[in-house]
Amino acid sequence: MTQTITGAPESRYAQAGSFKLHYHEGGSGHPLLMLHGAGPGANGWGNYNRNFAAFAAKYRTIVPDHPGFGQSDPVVITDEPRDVVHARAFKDMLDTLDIERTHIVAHSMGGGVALRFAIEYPERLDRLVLICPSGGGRSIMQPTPSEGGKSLAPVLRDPTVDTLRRFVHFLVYDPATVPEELIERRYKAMMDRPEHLENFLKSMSAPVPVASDLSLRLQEVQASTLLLWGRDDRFAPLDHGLKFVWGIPDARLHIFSKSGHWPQYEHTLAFNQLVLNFLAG
Amino acid sequence: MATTTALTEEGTSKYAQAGDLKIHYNEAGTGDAVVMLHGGGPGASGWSNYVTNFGPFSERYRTILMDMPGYGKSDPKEMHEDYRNRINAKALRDFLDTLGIKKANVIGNSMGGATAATFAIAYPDRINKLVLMGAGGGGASIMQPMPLEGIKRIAALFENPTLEGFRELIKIFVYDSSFMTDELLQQRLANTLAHPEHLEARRKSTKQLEDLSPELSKIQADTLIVWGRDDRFVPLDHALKFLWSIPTAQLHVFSGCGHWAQYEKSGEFNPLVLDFLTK
Repeated sequence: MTQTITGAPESRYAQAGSFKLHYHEGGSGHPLLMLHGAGPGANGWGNYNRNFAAFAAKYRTIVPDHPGFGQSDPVVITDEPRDVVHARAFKDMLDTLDIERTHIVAHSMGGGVALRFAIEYPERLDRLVLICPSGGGRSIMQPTPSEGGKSLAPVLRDPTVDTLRRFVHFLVYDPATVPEELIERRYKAMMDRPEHLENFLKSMSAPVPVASDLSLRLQEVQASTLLLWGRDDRFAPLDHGLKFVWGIPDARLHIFSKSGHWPQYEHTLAFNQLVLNFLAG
Repeated sequence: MATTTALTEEGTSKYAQAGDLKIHYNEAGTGDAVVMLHGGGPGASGWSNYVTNFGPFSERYRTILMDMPGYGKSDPKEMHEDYRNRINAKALRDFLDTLGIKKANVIGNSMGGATAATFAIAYPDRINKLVLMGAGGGGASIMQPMPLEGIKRIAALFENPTLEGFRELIKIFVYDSSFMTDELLQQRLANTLAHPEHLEARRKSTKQLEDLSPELSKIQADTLIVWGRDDRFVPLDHALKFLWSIPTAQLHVFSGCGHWAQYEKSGEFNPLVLDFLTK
């Protein structure tokens, strides 16, 4: 493993509308926002710690925790879809940090949020990188919900190392690549903020979908877009990758084999290089 | 980029014997070998297929554009005793023997992709990395009726090569054909008519590309698959078939791109493939 994994830079906080959001920041240059995916115990640093150093070497790299995740303020989704709430929060965060335009790299739920951001706030976005994003609606190739998606609620209802391990193992192609130490760290992060779990579970019974189906709005994405997918993804079906590359006007899709729902962890070096090349234009 | 502009077809043109076939090729650069195999349309050649890639690759690799048997300035070849992709793959091996190249990176487009995949299966010790663009050899589509419209136009053009036929072909060959001028079309027609022996051999041939699907899992080379989303010659579902079958593969799909990714998207294609070869 030759990628650099540094310790997390010191925690920072920014007010984003009604939310106080926690984030890490490093590097200088054009801003780059990295949005993590959902799942119990997920946070920005846990998602991108293998990638951060490579990006911070070239960009002002900002890795926030979503509302309702990590050390950010809690949220319960009631009447507005989560992607709308989060996209607005990140727009507000950019206002607070005085950032006019940014690149966004976003994963899974974060990808659905970034899609919403691209549609609602196109003037604030430069290039867009979506890693197996949500927001694609129904699969035309696999039954919904996916196998991985179904493993989420059991962790929220019964948060133990065992239920969490099962969930995390679905994230990757080869569970042997996930050391037990990672599970333990994530378990600790999860139990640190039990209200996030309860709130997420409550939000799942809100009268809005967990992730909006943005299929019919893809042509509104003006940003130049790179899509990345794991061939063996058990959360976001691969046919969504095709749907997005057909729907978003300026898009390219790169698929890693022997990769699940977490290519930036599973194929770190190839991922970093592809994304950095794309961002450089 | 000085070398890019300095490279000419004439200045890089060479010949080598490959078994009983005389093969024409263009060569530039030093280092590990990269062999580029062109597609199978009438008038195709290594130079015409890879003109936007030759310069950047030759800055880092010994880059070789091979005219396939029955194309360009190589010998004509009727395909009877075996499938075209197998005869081509064997010719490539003989060609590398003559040039004293033990192992090469092989890049193939369409018919060249089927040839490159066959080469990787038949001669695993002679290949480093494999790059396939809109590769043939995938058999039946599971999403579209075959033959695809582009393949039908190619067949018609081999029967009767006309300027109008080329115009109709190019319209669907690439996603955006606005770069195509009458002059370029005339040139392609002239390239085709200059070699009536190739057209005749093609008409007489009894074998074309085979379905490689059951063999793909034997490919040991690290593989990058590149496809145009809007390909009307080889269906996009074949890209997925290759991705699932070749053990170490990744797939890159360009939107707004037809059957000629290395030309249509050369600005992104060149660094993507060079990074893949180098890493």
